Amino acid sequence: MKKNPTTFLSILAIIVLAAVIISIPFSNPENLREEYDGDSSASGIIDEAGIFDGDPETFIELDFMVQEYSEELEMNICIFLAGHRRSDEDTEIFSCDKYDSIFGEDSDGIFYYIDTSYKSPAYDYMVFNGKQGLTHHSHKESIFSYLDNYLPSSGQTIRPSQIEDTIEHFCYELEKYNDHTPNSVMFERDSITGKYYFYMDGEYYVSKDMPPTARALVLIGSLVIGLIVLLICYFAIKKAYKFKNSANPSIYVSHGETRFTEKSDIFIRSYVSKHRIQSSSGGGGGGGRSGGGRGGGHHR
Amino acid sequence: MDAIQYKCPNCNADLKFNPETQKLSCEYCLSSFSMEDILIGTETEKTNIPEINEVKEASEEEKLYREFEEHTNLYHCSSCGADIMADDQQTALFCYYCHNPVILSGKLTGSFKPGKVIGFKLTKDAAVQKFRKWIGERWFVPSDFKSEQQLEKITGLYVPFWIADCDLTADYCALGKKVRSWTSGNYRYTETKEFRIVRRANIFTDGIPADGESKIDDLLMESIEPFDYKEIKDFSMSYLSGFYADKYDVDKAEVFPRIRIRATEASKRLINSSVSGYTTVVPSIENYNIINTKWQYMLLPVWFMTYKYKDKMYEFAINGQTGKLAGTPPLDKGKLKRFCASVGALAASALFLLGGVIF
Repeated sequence: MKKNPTTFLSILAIIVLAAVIISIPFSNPENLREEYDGDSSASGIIDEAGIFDGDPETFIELDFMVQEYSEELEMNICIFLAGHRRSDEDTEIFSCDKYDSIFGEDSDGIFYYIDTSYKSPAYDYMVFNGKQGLTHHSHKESIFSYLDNYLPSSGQTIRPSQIEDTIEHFCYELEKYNDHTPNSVMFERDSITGKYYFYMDGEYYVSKDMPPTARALVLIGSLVIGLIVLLICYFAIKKAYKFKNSANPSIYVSHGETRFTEKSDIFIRSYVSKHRIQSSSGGGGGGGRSGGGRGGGHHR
Repeated sequence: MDAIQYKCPNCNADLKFNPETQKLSCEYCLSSFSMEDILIGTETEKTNIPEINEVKEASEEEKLYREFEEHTNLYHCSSCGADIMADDQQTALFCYYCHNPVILSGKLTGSFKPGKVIGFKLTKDAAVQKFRKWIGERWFVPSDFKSEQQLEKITGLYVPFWIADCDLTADYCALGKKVRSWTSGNYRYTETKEFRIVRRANIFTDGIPADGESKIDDLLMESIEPFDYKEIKDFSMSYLSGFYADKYDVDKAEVFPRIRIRATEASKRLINSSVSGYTTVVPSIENYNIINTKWQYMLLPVWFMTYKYKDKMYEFAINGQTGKLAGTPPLDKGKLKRFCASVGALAASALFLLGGVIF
C-alpha cells in the first residue's frame, strides 16, 4: 500500500514555516543612508558640450544658483550638458555611474543629463537617488514636459539662453516637488543593488532589508493566498470523497427490438436578422514607466 | 362471497377501481386498464390447460421449491434486522452488514426461491486485491480502514434482484433551431431555420435490475452494474455453497417506480441521441409510457463490505462477476485538515519568500 504523504508534508511545512519565521528580522532595518552633509561644492553644472564657453560669467552664475538650491533643498544636484551623442542605454548607465562617482551611492540627489549633441532624437535622462527616488521620481514626466517648453527641439541649434532657462526652471521644479512626503507604504527598490528606499516613522531609510510595512503587506497577501489554497484543496479533496454513481441506463435498451414508428424533422420556417457591426476605434496604449525605479528618460 | 382482487399485469400490485376513469388503476406503476382487458387476461390464464409436459415441469418446479425450503436456513440479525439465507451445509455466524452475531430463525418458504442466479466469478482474494488497489489511491481514509481485519469483513453475498424487461412507447415533439451567422460589409447576418422534430417509437429495455433489499443502498447496487446476463443459470442450491444470500424484503411492486425512472431515462437518452445537428432543441411533448413489464427474480453475486466510522455506515460493493467496484470512501477530516494546512502553509511560505525577492 502507498505511504501516506500527510505526515511528511506536515513535517516539511513545519520546517519551512520555522525557517521563514526565523528569517524575518523583527528589529528596525539598518539605515545605510548617507545624509546630505550641507556641502554643496560637488553640486553644479558640467558643461561637456562647451555651450557656455563663450559666456563664462553666466556659467558661474548658474553654477552658483544650482549650489544654492542644493543647500536649500538639502540634496545633491548635478546638471550635465552632454557634448556627444550616446545611445539611450549608454546615457542611462553613464548618468547613474556619474552620479555615484560624484556624490556616492546612497546619497540624496538628482543628476540631470541634457542631450546637447545636436543629434536627433535627443534623449534626456534624470537619475533620482536616495530620498529623491520617493519625492521627485513620481513627478519626472511632469518635470520633463515642463522643461520641454524651454529646451530646443532635437537637431536644432542650441542657444545658451535656452539652456539657461531650462536650468533655472529645473531648479524651480525641484523646489516645487521637494515638500512631497511619501506615505510609509511606498518604497522603491534598486534591482541592481537590492537596496530599498522608504520612509518609516517620518525618517528616510536606505536599507538592504525590506520595509516592515511592505513585509507586512507581503505577509498578509501570502497568508490570504495560502488560506485560499488551503480551502480549495480541502473542498476539492472532500468532493472527491463523495459517492459517484456511474450507472448508465442506456445499456439496457434493446436496439434490436426498438422500432421508430415516426422519425421526422419537418422544416417550418426560416428568417434572417441583421445587426450593424459597431466599429471600434483603437485607443492608444498606456505608457509604461520608463527608466525603472531610479531614473527616467525622455525623448525630445 | 370472497372479494376478487385483480393484479396489475405490469408490476403485480393490487389494482383499484378509479371511478373517474372507470378503469382499474395501479398506484405503483400508474398504469390503468379497462375491465375488459383484465377479464380477457384472467380468462386466458383460466383456459390455458397445461399439457402433459407442462405438468411434468410443474412437478419439477415443486420439487425445487421443496428442496429450497428444506435446505435453506434463515438467520436473523437482531442488531440491524438483516435476514440472511445460507444453505444447511454452512452456518452463518455474523451479519454481513453490521458484523454482529446472527441467530438461526427458521426455514424459508418456497416463495422466496429465486428463479435464476449468476454465480460468483471473482474470488475473495481477487476482490480483496481490487479493494486494496482502490483504497490505496485514497490518502485520507482512516488508517484502520485499510487494516487486514477490515479486509477480512468482505463477504460474498447473493443480493436479491428484480429484473424487469419493459415495453415502452415514446412520444416526443420538439422545436429545433439551426442557426448560422456570417458577415457582409458592416452587417452581421444571422439565419435561423426552425424544424418540427417528431419521434415516436416502441422501445424495449432488457433486464433493468433493482435490488430487493432495503438495507443496501440502491445507488450502490446501480453503480456496480452491469451484470452479464449471458451467464444466468437456473437457480440451484449449489450456488449458495460458501456464500450468503439476502432474503428480499422489497417486492416488485415497490421497486417498480425505480424501474420506471430508469427505463424512462434510457428511452429519453435514446430519443435525444436521435436528435442531432441543431443549435437548440426545445421539447414540447415528452411522453414515455410503460405498457408491459416482464419480471424475473434472481440472485446476483456481490462482494460486500461495510465500515462504521463516526456513527455513519459506509458500504462498498464489488460486482462478483465483473469486478466493478463502488462505494463512498470514509474521509478522515483530521488527516485532510493537516494535509491542507500543510499545503496552505507551504504555499504561503513560498509566496512570502518570493514576495521578498520580487518587491
